[in-house]
Amino acid sequence: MRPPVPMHPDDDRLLELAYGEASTAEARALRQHVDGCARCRHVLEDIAEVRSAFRSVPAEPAPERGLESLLAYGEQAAARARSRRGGLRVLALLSAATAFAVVWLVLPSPQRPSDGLARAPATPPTDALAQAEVRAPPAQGDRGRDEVDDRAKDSKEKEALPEAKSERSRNEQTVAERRRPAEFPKQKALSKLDAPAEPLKLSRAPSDGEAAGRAAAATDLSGALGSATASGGKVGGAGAGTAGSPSVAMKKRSAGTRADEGTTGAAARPVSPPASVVAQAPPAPAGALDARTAEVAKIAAAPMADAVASEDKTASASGGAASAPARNAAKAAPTMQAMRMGAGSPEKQARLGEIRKELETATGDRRKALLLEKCEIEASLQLGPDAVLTCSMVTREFPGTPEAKRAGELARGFSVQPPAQDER
Amino acid sequence: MRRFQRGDARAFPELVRRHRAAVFAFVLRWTQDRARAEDILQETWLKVVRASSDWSPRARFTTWLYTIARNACVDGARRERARAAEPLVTEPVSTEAHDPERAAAASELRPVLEAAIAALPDAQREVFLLREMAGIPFHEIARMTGAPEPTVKSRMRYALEALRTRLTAAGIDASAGGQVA
Repeated sequence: MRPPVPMHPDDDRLLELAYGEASTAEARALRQHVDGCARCRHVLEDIAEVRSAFRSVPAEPAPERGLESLLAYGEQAAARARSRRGGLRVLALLSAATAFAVVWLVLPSPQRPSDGLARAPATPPTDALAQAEVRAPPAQGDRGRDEVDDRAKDSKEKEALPEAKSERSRNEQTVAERRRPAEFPKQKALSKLDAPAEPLKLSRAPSDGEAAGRAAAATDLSGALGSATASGGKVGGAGAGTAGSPSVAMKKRSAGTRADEGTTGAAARPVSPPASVVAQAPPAPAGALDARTAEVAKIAAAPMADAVASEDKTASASGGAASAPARNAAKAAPTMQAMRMGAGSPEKQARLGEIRKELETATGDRRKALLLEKCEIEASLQLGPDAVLTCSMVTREFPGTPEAKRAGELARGFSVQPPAQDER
Repeated sequence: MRRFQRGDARAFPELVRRHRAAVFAFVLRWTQDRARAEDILQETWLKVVRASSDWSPRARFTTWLYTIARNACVDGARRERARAAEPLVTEPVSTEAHDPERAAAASELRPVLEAAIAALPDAQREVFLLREMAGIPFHEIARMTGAPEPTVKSRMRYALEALRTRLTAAGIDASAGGQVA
């Protein structure tokens, strides 16, 4: 009796085998089957033949046109990335140091974190020792023994305490006590900032654009604060938004910044830096800028900055050796769109810019969602031709989906039918 | 790419050297038009530079690169259609292979193959080129195109079948690596 003929594997499995995408075990099983099955062997041979024919035609060499300018553009981008990384590192260090200094100076002494700086070789007074022991009790199991030890040693010699916890607590207490008189002037000066409620805002590192807009105010403030701002002009500059002293506030206003705009004031329109500065400014680190400030800055700078940035980028990309069509492809679209959208809502324009950037790499569902969103925004901004083109992309790339239906409706709103869907 | 992100100026020329020709071949076969292919090639690489900070090492660079190229092709095709369509003039593609025999074979095979690829439906051509030229696995093509993986594989099989049929009809012996029968 013959053994039963094994079932033919699915053609998709054979395709995976032909392209080396089957797992090792699956490939082994498939090969075993193919060895004894003429039909499946034939399928594999057909695939291999087409691939062989395709590969026998050498690929066209890439054109030299545009290569030089592309490499120059890449070099510039690498240089920008280098400077951004260096700048971010410095900013991060400065921010951390400033934040630490501000938190340390502003926090009331009992809340101060204990760390290496707080440890000082000092002999605590007896009352401080007692307090330290109350605040830092030893582990539960050793409490009785420790108390007995400590009391005995306290009565004999104060500097020879065996328990690290007790010593640390005493040292913190002692240093805190010692620092108070010396820190008093600084705290007094800093109290003008009225900032303890939001210490993180004080430590926020401004981007280059903001820094340019705030330079004068920061200088004035750091002068007014004296040594209290020695940890960096950024303390004065960033904290200026909440300044409470009349003189400081007046100086700040004279520098062109409105105190009632808080930390976002410098990024708002009256003092926003030139568009070219904003366009060239490296983005601030995500953790350094609070979302609200970043959003306001972006909205304030978006229309001009977009246009200038795209001009700058394409100009540097073309360099002179680039082909005209390539230059146009890279340059015309964003510039024209920026001009057309001049009258639209800044939030929507900013969002359109983000969507365009993300669309360059987005795929699948994400691309579908982005395209539809772009289509809706363009429709709401009455950018008829753009909306119709974007909506047609949705209907063409994702036919039959609810998004395609919605896009079709939007396109019809402009009395223009999107192009017919491709055969897929 | 990671080196380029960090600001290593030598990394970008290296990326271009490795991938530019392949991307151009991909785009050229997609568009079937040399001038457009050159524009899209440039556009693709400009986008690579601009979006370089978005690239994450979790994604394969080639997949990311060809996603950009593919989207640029799709956008380019959309623009072309919106311009409403003068018929595409396909420049004859030159053969520059150094091996004379191979060049001779290729010179006969190339127009047939190019025509066969051009005749494929867009969706099939897209999958075929992404898999065959860019070497992107089916599951990633599915993600790139938003089509389910079985659909992608079906398109690939249909594309292969159609190409084989056309080559055979043109008297090309695919089993002999593209020799004219």
